[in-house]
Amino acid sequence: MSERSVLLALNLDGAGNDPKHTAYQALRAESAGFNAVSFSSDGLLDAVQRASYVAAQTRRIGLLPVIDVLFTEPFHTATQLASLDIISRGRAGWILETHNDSVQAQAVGRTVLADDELSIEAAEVVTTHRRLWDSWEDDAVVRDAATGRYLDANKLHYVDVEGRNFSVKGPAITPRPPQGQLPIIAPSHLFSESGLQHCRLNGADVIAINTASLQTLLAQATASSTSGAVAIELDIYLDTAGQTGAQRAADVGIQSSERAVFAGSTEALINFLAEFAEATANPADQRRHLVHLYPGDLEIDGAVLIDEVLPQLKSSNLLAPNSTTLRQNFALPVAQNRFQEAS
Amino acid sequence: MSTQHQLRFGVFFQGVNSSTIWRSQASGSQTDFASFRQIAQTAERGLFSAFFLGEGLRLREHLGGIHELDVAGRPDAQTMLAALAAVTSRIGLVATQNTTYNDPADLARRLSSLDLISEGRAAWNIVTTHNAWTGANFRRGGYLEHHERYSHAEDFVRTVRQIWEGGPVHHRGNHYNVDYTGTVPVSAQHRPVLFQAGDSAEGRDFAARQTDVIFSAHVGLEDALEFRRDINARAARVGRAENSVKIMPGAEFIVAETPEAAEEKHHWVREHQIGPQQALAYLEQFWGTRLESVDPHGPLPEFDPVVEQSSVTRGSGFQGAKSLELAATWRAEAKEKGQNIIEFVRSRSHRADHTFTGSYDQIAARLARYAELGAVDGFNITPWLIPTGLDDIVNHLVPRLQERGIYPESYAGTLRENLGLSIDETHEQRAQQAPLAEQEVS
Repeated sequence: MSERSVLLALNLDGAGNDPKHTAYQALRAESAGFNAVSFSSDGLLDAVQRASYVAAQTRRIGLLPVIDVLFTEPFHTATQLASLDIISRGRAGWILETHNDSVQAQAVGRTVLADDELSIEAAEVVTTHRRLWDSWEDDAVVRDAATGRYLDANKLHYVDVEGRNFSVKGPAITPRPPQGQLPIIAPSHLFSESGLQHCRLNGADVIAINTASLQTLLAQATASSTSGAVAIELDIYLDTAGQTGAQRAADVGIQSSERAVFAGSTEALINFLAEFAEATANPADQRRHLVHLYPGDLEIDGAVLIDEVLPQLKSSNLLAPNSTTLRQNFALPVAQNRFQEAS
Repeated sequence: MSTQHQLRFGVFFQGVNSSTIWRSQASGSQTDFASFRQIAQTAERGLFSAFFLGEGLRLREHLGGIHELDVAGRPDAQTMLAALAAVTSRIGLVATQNTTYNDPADLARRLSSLDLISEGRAAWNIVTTHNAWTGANFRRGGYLEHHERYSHAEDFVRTVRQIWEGGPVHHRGNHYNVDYTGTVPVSAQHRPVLFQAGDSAEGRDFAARQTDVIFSAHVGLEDALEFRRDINARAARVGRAENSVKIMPGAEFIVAETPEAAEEKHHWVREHQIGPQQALAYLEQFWGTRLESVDPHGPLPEFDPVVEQSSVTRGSGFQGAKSLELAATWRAEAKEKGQNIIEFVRSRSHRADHTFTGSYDQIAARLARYAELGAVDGFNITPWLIPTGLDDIVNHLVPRLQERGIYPESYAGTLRENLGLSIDETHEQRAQQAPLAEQEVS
């Protein structure tokens, strides 16, 4: 058995637009040992704001808002994410999405992109975030009374990004976030030779894999894990005393969800997670992989996960303990500042 | 007294500008959540109506380089306010947000979201900008002409208001279109409260048509009364009731137990706000060149500015000015008052009538006059020290104002209620529609 443990994230959209209930669920997830909670954008309160509201009330758990890169302003989203990292003291990450539909586009007076443009646009937006997050060196605030300088301009850098569809001058208006660079999780279809890259200076840290079948999910995760960290996404319906997960899933009427559905017992889930951990273990690379759970019902599946699944995962060392920062949870290397001269 | 108004306080956490002291041991982080939490919780203990955050979408520059001398590095306003919503329960949360480099649909959605997360405590302080210098950080670049600044802003605010009303919105603008249907339900206060600070005739008319509260620059009693009359007249012209547009000037408070202690504190504050380098940098904006060789403890430079127009520190609120004339006037003024450069700049950059300096009792008595005459609805206080800058006000001034019956004893409810505002449905409908003249043109 590999010593490799996995990271577990729980999606909290099931708490709806009730901030207090969202925070309550996040606290429960934190004490149970989840490594992160996630917030999708669709139709609910702003994902970054929900994450920030939760950040102020938690200490260890990672915070993963979903943000679209196509119809947002890179300068704003970079500032928002850096701020979330400041508020949470290094627990923020970003689940990157390309929401390429006409409703999103028309809301900001633009048009959808061609499919082959998505990877390049995502890469340019990620580059902008990466450069803005480095645009203040860690010690840019000098507070030097002798020279009257609060800032040292030599430690602040213009980012000068010239993308195909936008340009950003910089520097950021917010200091470098505590993690230096936030972990970025991006869907596998966005990675390409000429566009978004995995584990590069201006790339994403984690490939998110999303297919309809559990076996394909495992196979693709295994293949991608050789180049860096992966995340798999699962809709989850667990057996309870009264009803099987499969019955509950059938009751909901599974639409052609893009995500793989796991319906079954806690034992079966634990076995699946062990299989995932084994398959993605890479002795040459210590990076951890993520399993991102979307509970069919946050109340029911959340309770089964917290009461039954996580204690067993912990006792079999399958669940990674929480470190101080989300980067450390993923076992990503310390983010060197690209603008800082090697000393 | 039945005509007596109540005063309310807000706090403006500036995060930029020279008025925030950083040279003292007592000065905390301008960025850490703990500083924001401490100020907001202190303000809430003092029953403040609102906690304000500013916005500047490009790091300030001075003579072509990054401006180094003042505090900087603010977190994103709404992200910070959402976190503060979790550690406060009654105080209003006001985000300054730009109409030029935000999208109406996105901003409407995020503000509604903050309003629900805070359970009816959110507000938007509307600001405009036209400059391409800020636009260099955004997809649209510098797309707006100076003369379009207010018409675009009002178009934007109307669109946001329509989105908040619910139902599909189809806005056709000069620069972009918006087709959007909001997804966030209304909050306990119906919609976020609207603040605005514009002071030109155009800005005042905009405020009279669109906003609930003006964050004004008219602090002195006579000035405040005149501003109140002017705003009431403008509001009446668009059918709004007297005093329905609330007025809260921005002000600085330097208060202590005795008048002497307050004077001493005042001296300490100014000394720490404006040092020799800040004083020279202030002049450099108007001289258009580095003044490194000039002695800040000596008189103003005898040589003339190298530019016709001032090259004001970008990202600050100064207006352009004719440099040669200004230099001559200032030289004469400083000479007459016997001021060196530092003293002159200290006297200019912090106008005496924007600062209440005195003992707690003196200031309580002065504020009672404002309440009695209904000159203002309150003050938006800019603390000169973070995060302890409100302590004296909350511990000593607020109780004295309460004793005089001119300050709330408790929170009323939502931010709208705490500010004494109500929703006038007729006005709400009108504020969403373009004026007739504009409809005919487009």
